[in-house]
Amino acid sequence: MWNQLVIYPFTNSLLLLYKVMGDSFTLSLIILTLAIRLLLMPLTAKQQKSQMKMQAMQPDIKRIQEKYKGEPERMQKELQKIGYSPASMLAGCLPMFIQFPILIGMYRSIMHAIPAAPLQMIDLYKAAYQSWFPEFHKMIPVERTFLWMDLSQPDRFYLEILSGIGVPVLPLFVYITTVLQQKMMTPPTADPNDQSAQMQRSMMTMMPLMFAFFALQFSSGLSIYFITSNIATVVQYMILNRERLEWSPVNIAGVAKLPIPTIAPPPTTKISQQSEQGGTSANPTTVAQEKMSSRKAKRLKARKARGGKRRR
Amino acid sequence: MSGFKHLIKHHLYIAVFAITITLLLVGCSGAMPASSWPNSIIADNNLIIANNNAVYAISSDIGRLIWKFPSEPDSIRSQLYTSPAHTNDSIVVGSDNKHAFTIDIINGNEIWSFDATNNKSGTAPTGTSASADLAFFTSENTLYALQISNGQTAWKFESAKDLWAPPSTNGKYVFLPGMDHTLTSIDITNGSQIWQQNFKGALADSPTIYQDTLYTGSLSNSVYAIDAANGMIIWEYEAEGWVWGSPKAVNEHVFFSDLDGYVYALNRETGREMWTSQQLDSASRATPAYSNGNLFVTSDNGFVYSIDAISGNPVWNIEIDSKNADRLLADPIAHNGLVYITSMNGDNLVYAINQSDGVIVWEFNPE
Repeated sequence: MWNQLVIYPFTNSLLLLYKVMGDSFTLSLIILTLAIRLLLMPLTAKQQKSQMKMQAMQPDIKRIQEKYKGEPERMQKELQKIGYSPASMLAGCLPMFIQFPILIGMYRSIMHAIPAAPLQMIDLYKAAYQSWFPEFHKMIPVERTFLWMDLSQPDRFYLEILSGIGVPVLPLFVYITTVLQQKMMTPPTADPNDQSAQMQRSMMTMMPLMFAFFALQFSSGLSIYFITSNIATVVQYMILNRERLEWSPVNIAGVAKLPIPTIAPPPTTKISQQSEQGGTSANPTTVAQEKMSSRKAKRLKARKARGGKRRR
Repeated sequence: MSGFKHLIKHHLYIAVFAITITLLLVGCSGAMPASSWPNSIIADNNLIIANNNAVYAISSDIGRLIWKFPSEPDSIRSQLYTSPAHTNDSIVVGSDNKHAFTIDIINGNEIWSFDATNNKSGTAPTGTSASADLAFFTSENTLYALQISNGQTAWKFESAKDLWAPPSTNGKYVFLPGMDHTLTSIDITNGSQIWQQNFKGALADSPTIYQDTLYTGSLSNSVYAIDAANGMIIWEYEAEGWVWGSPKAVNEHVFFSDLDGYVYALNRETGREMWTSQQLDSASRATPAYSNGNLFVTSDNGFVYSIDAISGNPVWNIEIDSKNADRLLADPIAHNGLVYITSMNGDNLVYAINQSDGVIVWEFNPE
């Protein structure tokens, strides 16, 4: 079932793109990754918006939690008033989890499409939609090398001066692009000691390491998927948040300071004050945006961004 | 302090999450998948099987373990799936981390090993075969001819693409099949190329030498008869699916099976079709075994078939270890009234089956 629904369509798409792209498996991987990102765009955009919304609510959530420490029911009510709902926040994470089956599917499809061993070749024979490829035998074996890389093997770049020590170039790129993506998508928080900020810091340390570890262990084709996917996410995020985009130097793993695009923190101070005064909607920007038509919301957002800059 | 505790807790959550995803990748997708299937040969009346990270010698009559190489399983840390080659008093095997080993056939001790890694990591399918003086070892796109006596390289030959199968030799020439759709004849004394023939598809198994003719299947559905002297194609036959295994040449017939599950018998001299079997339940990769007028064919879904070699009619069939959805991809071996089947993922590694009725006589489990 898993094979028929995910692995085989991915494998055949990779093979088809390979044929169209003049026998370049790297290009076919990049294009399929971008196509997957495009398909997931509505979901990932929702996740990114939910993340921003959550970020904006943090000070209010914290204040309500402190204010109604001994009254859990009241706390719930107040949290609901500002639009906080754990279920909807969890739903915001859903796209992230949807990406993991795709990741696993992608990995297996790469192994299927560029068989580096006899057993995988037999599996490819089963997986291939041979009606799509009238001269399938001419494509076999699929070219799996690109520059110094064997896309079916974990990436190592060998230099003679290093006498047998392979430099994992792609895993390093996976690490850097994941750090960039994380840094960009995580706006600075009002209170660095609160739980979500700690969680974010934790994610920012662990996620790039986790993906770099995958890249180190698994075929370099998967690294190409990671790198393309990370860059696509960054670009998508830049487009979605172009009004609040800033370029600031960020320290990458304590090695280099690079100017990367970051998203300015959402305007939280004003909202918090309103909330303290007993306002029903502590986050007027987001709530109003939900109520207004999308065009109106965009106009309001743009006006606010311009106003903010003038004040500064 | 509590902030620090929180930080540790969150790191732990994410570490657990990372480990779960890694396990999913490894478990669901087989991050370190088996590169091939167990292969076996008969040598000195014993069955020699290369499987996973070990080579076993078992007696062919009752399936008793004689020796195992290496005695400490961790000393190789790789997969030894190549079909073992037998010459003089030694067995030659290759591992997918690009090493070749020769093993003493009496006690299973290592005689020498050869390293083809060139100081680079990674894995590659390897193949081994042998003549009286040379062991042939393929790794990536290179064929190494190694001195049987000491493992020194006599010569090497580089192909345009990967080599997945070892060459066949008639003692004078070496016939090397390539994934680059070519078959190359090489002078056994110095490694120089004699001729090279191009085919429509990749060649994934060794050619069969019968008198002065070579027979090879290809991953383009075609089977060829080739003049060993000059590489000219004598005839070509188009099957339904990829023909992976080497054709079996017996008297005036050539037998082979394909990945669509058909078994074929052709006239050896003309390539004319004598019969085609009914489609089996699954793909058949291996070279059929032949004994006493019967063919023994294995399939990817765990069945062994006995087929009458003259008429193509089925004689018996047996399913090996149905509960494990066993894959039978290795070449079956017919010897002394038994058929030896090596299994990829069954409860047992080897099954000895009676040729006449398909009854399992003994099983061998390395554990």
